[in-house]
Amino acid sequence: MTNRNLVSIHDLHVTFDSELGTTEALKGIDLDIKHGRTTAIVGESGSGKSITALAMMRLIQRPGRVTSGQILFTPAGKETIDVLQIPDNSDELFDLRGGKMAMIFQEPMTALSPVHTIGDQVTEAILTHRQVTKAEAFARACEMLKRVGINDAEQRMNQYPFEFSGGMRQRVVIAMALVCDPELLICDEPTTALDVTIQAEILALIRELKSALDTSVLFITHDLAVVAQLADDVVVMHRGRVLEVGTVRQILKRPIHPYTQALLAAIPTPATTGRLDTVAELLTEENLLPYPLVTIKDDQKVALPIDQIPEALRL
Amino acid sequence: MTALLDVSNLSVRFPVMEQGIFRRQVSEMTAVNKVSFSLPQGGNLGIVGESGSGKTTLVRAILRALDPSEGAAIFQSQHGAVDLCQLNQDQLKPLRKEMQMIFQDPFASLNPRMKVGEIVAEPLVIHEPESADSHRERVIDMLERVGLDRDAVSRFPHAFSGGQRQRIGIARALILNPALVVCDEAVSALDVSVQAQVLNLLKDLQQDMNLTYLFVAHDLNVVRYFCDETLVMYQGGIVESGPVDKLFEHPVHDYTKLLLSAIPSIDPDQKLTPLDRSTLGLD
Repeated sequence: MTNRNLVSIHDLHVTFDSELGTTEALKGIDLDIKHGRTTAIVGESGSGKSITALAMMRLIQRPGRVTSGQILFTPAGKETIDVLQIPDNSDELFDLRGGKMAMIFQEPMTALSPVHTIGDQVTEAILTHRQVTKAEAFARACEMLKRVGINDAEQRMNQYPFEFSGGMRQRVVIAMALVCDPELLICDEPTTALDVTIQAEILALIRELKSALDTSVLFITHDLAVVAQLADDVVVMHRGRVLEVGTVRQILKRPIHPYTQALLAAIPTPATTGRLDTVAELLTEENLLPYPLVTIKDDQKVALPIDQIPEALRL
Repeated sequence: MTALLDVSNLSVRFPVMEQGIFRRQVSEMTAVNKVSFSLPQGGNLGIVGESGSGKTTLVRAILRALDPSEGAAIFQSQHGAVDLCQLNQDQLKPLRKEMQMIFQDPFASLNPRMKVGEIVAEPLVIHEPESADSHRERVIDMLERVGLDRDAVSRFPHAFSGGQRQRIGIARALILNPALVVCDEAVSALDVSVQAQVLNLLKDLQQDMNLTYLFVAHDLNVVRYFCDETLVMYQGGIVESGPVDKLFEHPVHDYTKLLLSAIPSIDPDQKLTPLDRSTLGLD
């Protein structure tokens, strides 16, 4: 299966200025998001996974700035554009955010306004991006809420966020994001704040909507079990670099980079007894030197010198 | 093994007030409903359940951070068995050094204006003011035991990462040599690699200091790894309890089955197939 690249990031650098000097949050990353697939970025806090998503949405604010790189975005039937070249405050940027790319966040309570009804908030998302009447937008919002599994959507449109449970709020946020048919849905830890039972429901919902609406998904998480359940492709990030790229089976069943292996070993499973292996114990600083990403068999990529890659997997 | 803590028929009810200016009490809401369990000395008891199931309310009632409506919690203190539910706050104060708590959020549970040395020393200042000369030494010793540098004493919490802050919280809880330690989602906010370090640390300290843990968590895999026995709470009551392996391999109650079916597997070939709540006959 060869899908075209919906987004292709080349050598992206993001730095943050502070009085103590500059910190490089992204140290030149390359990654592709293929059309029609779910790509997961995994990493610990501070790895740069959220910054990558924010850069794609052009949401990096001072003191952060993109210093170099390209984010090439190719919507269906349109020409490729470099997201970083779109002028600030232009209609094109406005259309990109929320129209072509939409984002859902970890904490559904902070993503919703507490003083507006659910109906107004979902309708606003449509009115901002589409030339429709209020009545049409209202009907479309209602339909979308039903789509994400909210019963009695007509009545619930008039309610406020505090009248919704955490899982229901996350459904509303998903409805807001998808209501304008974006090409790419970016999910930043959307289930981290939820109970495991609700998480299972939301994961099933995202999977179902992705295939029904023909949207590509970028999923950002630190939870490898969620990745196993949802992702097609996986990008492993650490300290502002991409260390390994591959399909979900390659990364979770046959990880090559020592960091990916250590990350998997640190998770308690039903079979784990005794002490847990920690990433710090399993890794040496040498494992994390900034090697360039090389392509190996089956399109897998890994940031290691060639002599540390198993011979059978080299090209 | 004797039970360090024996809880029987513990209930917590909150008053439900009328809207409006008079705020009369119109009814009661039962947050914890007739919970009984026994925690042996040196054991690890897990409490699992969804948010709203009453896990945190239960442990807060046992520690008397809030008042239970009925029931008993017999605690084997150094001075013999006492019923925590029958004591007033003055009588509880000397017992507090034997029961300590580690909190979920390592950012919210440390005062940003206090130095780490002051934070860890505060329980000593309250409970053992007479031994003030040795406080600094004991704080440094405790910090080293939880894997922090001795210069941490003069720094503020903002200078530490999430995992290091959780170590500070652990040092504060353990400095009084407690017998019972309540961990309320103590590793939930941590990255998986840091979580493994903190779980290892808690296990090591248990050995060294002869601790008993009451471990509240929503991550079922962590509970299975860390605990010997677990309680499953649903709507304020215990629906099932038992040794972790038995409970995870052969769950009996529908709610336990629902919870277990919702755990995603790390294997991409084992697809998540959660049970449907509506078909289970849970009210």
